[in-house]
Amino acid sequence: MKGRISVVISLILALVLVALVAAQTSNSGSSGTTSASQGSTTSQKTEKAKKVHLPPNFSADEAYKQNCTRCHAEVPPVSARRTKTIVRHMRVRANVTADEAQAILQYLTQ
Amino acid sequence: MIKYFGFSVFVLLLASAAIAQDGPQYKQPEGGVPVLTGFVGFGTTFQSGQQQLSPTISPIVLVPFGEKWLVESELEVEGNYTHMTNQPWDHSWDKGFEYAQIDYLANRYVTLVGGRFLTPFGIFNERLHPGWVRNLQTAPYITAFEMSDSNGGMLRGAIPMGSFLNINYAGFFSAAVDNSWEGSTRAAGERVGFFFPAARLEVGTSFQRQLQDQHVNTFGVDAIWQSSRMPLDVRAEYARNATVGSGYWVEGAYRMRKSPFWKPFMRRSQAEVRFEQFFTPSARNRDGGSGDMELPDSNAKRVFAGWSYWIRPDVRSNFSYGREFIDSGDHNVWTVGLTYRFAFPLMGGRK
Repeated sequence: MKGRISVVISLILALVLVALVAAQTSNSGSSGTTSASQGSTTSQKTEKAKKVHLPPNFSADEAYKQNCTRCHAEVPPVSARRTKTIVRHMRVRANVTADEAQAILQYLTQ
Repeated sequence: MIKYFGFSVFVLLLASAAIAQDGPQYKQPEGGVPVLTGFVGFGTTFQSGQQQLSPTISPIVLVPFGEKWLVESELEVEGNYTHMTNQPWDHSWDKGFEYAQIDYLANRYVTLVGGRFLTPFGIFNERLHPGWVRNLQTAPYITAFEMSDSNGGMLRGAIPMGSFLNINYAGFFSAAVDNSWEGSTRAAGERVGFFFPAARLEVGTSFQRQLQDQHVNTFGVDAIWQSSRMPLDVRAEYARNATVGSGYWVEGAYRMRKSPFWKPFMRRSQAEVRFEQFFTPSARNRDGGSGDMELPDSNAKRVFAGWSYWIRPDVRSNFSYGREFIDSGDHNVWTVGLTYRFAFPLMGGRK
């Protein structure tokens, strides 16, 4: 039993370490994004919108198919702002990664 | 302990490599609004000598705060109207909070959860239990000891390892609460899932230790696979508890989108089949019993074949036929059900 508990503790420790490093990397990454976007010409409303990164070769369509349809045979469409709330709920419920959640939101709102 | 630390460093290095990647940028809409969602359902079950009607309403309130917070709660009210041969109708209503939790999205990989939440064990409890999501109305045997609620704290999230693998995890601690609406057992546990996007395969393991009374462990393994060539989903789960029993279920669902005939009907239809088995514990462990869990008294197996038809994307009808093989007598089980999934804005958010 002690061995099993050690495994669980080690896993949790590993995940906390990953999270800490990920948080640091994420912060530095977002500052770079802001500077890169300064030259773009968009409407005032769009400029306020948050920019996110997606991995290479990662489409919103794939993110939807890989995650949502694992449990949902049908996803009824709702408005963009309701969809944003529901996607945040599903990010927690289904342990969807942050990048995938953003991509799914894009897929469902476009 | 050194080898576990080595494993931690290995995971850390993999994550760092994955995080270093970058890609195209997208712009997201602003401002999530509070939402009232959930479903209303009506199910009927017919089996030898018994008929059961089960109306259910399950409202969920989602209230986002800023970019990192979400308050969410689900109340489930389920009626059970049962008629046994030569007896009058009996009825009862079960009601309680499935969850009432506060989520804090600490960063891209970690979410902290506090309050009452669905216990993260296997795939059915957290992901498939709502009537409008599950393929077949009848829940598998083993969900009787898997499905539970916890009161306490939880750490969860997902970590992408490049495009090859996503690891998702949840670890929790629950306190003992003796309350008919919000009861829970003192327990701790975890689930770790490994999702391979290219193969569309997720394999997960679950562990839970009850920290009161008998201090028993429950183990579980689950898998979900989606074919990329055809609209086919396969889900399976195994769970074992020394005092309650063990069992598994395997379920397949085929969306009939590609049917060459009756296209208007078939493109909204899905065929489903499930096989499951339950094994009672060995005699030396049986003293613990299964309490008020709805589990068979003897080894049992059950097979179901079902059909779902979406009248609209938010209105689903379903029908299933099953046969249960059990010591008390093999018998047929028929179910018919209808669910309506709703999502209304509580303020703003019409567009």
